[in-house]
Amino acid sequence: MSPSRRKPTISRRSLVQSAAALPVAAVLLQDAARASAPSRQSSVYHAPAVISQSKQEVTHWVYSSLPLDRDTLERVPPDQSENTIEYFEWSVEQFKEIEPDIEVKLEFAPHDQTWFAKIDSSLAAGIPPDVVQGPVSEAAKYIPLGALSPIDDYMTDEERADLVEAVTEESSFEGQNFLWPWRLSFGGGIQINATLWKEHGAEELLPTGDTRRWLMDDCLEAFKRTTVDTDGDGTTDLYGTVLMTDIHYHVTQFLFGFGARLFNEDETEVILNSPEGVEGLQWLLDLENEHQVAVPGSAVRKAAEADRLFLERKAATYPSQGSGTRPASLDGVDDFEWYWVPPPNVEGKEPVVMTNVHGHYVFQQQDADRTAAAHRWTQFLLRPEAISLGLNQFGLPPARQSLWGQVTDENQQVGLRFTDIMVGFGRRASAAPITFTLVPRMLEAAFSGQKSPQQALDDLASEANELIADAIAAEGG
Amino acid sequence: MPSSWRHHRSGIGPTRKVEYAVAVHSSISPKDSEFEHRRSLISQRLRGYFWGYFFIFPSLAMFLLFSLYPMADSIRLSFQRFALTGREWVGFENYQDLLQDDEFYIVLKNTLVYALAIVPVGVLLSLILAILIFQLPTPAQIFFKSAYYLPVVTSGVVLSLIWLYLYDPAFGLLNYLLGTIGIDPVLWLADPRFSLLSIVIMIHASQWGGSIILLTASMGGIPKDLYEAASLDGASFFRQTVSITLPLLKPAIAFVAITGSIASLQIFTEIFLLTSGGPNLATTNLVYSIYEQGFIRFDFGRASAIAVLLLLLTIGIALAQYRLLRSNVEY
Repeated sequence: MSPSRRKPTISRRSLVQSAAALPVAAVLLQDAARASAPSRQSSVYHAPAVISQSKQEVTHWVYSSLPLDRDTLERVPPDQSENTIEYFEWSVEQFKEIEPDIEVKLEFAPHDQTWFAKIDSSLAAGIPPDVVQGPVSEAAKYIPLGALSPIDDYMTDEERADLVEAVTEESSFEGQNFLWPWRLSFGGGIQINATLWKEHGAEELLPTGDTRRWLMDDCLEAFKRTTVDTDGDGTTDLYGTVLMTDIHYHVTQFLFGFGARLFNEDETEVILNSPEGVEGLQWLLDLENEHQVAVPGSAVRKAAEADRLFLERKAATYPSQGSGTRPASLDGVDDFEWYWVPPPNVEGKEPVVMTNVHGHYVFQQQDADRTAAAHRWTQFLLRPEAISLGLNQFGLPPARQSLWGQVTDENQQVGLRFTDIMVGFGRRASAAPITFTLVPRMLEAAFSGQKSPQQALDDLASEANELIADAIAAEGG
Repeated sequence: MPSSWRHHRSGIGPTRKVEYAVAVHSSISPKDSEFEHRRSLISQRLRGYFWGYFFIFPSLAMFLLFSLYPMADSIRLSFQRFALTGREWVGFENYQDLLQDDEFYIVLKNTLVYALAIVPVGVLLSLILAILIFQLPTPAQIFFKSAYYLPVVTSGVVLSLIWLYLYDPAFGLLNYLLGTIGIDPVLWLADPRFSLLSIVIMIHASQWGGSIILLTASMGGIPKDLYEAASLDGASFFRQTVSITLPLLKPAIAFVAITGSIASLQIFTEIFLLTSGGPNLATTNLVYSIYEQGFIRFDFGRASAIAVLLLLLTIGIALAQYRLLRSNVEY
């Protein structure tokens, strides 16, 4: 080869190296473009541009599902596929008859962590859905961003009057309402296996009356009577109750019965570390450690496991959430008398139940007609006859008072009375991490003995108040 | 221009000297001729390798799009604050917040404890088992290798749920067995003294099958005459193992150690399902912390910063192991 001849400039190695550099270059170019673009002036969300059309398409993300018989509109088993229609799809068909120019597209997705990631990423991409099913605690995240459309201009006076004041307050932010209320979700209540209570001499302690209120001492006594070695092998195989830490309001409802509260009135501070809170938490820990009436291992137990232990009759009660609807898994099980009661309280104190108003919220779109179409659909979805249809099926009481008279089940009637003792989940951006991370971690620390009740609650308050301060600062910015 | 010259200039056949001679005797300058030659060589090479690039292009594109680009973006995100309204450049603030957070050091400590508790014991365990299995007749070898490998191909979720039952303090099998010999029930997952250890035990019981198979395969590659010579010299089984098997297995052991370390730094499924990182951070490692920061607290900037630190830690440990354990082995 002549010395003057040079090798070709592009080798295989350099080709692959160049290809690998492409993504990095893409990232850097994005930054450069962003740096040269005018920066956003405010933190308010800007709705995407949508071309206005005479026919509107409304996307609705839902996570609840209820299969109905097409003819009778009665609930059918999930595995039945003949002559069935899903509850929301039924409403879509009905809506199409009165609003043929509005096409509703339902999208079903599980209500787990991916649900939130999906909404957030669609919002960040500028293409949020029109309507999303969810409780007010989840909608609260998007309200400060200006991403949601208030419902006040669309809600009729009759609808407004049909709501309990506490429900309206819970769904309102600075005088505007952002949630079409559908159902109430009570984050408290105790499920009792009354059959086991009767078998083991605790029947007299079953709460009775319209409200079924009961005292903490009676609760503990009942737990003791229903903690039994049923087969005489020396080990306890039925426990009075089962506790968990991942869904904190299942167990902090006991603390509330001592007079403790999670937030102060204006949600500027966590106050669970009050003397009442410490007393309540100690009482809770004693259930497992001292009295041994709670299934051991509460520190890392999840609600799903606790539910299973209750249904398997290894625990006679299960502090949980709901409305007083007997679980569907007990359908056809005759020897399980299911009983629903509020959380107990000490003398002179009122219990409270953290309550979430469930419904559907509408994202603001640049096309006002499209937003209006979304409101029309959601309003139609929440008509009384539709809510009546699913009254006993979805397991959550309706937010509309006019429908409460249709509730005939005793347990559900007790559940409806929870509206007298409801408090919100918190509406600031800090509420979610407090609920899903900090309080569970506090319970884990206390149940595992890593911290004393006072220390655990103080650390919770300290950390949570920092988050609240950040959230308040962000709201003001 | 004669057609033969055009044929030569197409790049098929003519040598450099011939082409140069053609160029000299034509109106084309030497410089143009050199450029043409270079272009024709490149064209030749590309044609030759075209199908190779064609077939690797889909995988390469997937890798660039779904692995390398997200990785680069994640590094960038670690220097930003993420909000639904957009990203804001904050420099090293996420890293500073992490390094000033006591929780981060707890999580880092847990991560290193996982690695230290899993890798050395796991490598030793799989080595001993591989040596023992290798001595068995082939049918027995097949049985035991399959038995140890089965958990590796079983879903992590399924395994975790089974161990959740085993570890149940009130109704689980382990405490039942302990009760038969008079030992009090243990809070395997709820007691911070045992929770991390319980996860480590689960990993040891279910994840080393692949290493066992790799080591037994490597042992199969060791020449038998080395063992025969050692036997003739009176070497015991133990002596042969220490002096012949282990040194010649060093590359395989290094591979098992390095890959095991990388895997142990990234445990997630077992922690998520058994303890959710609790009680109170007792079992939280860096990967679980990334999940918590990103998908529960929606602080993707901080989560990315943790991911970058984990990447640096993993690279550092892998490099150190490689330097320590590398060897040139010749049979």
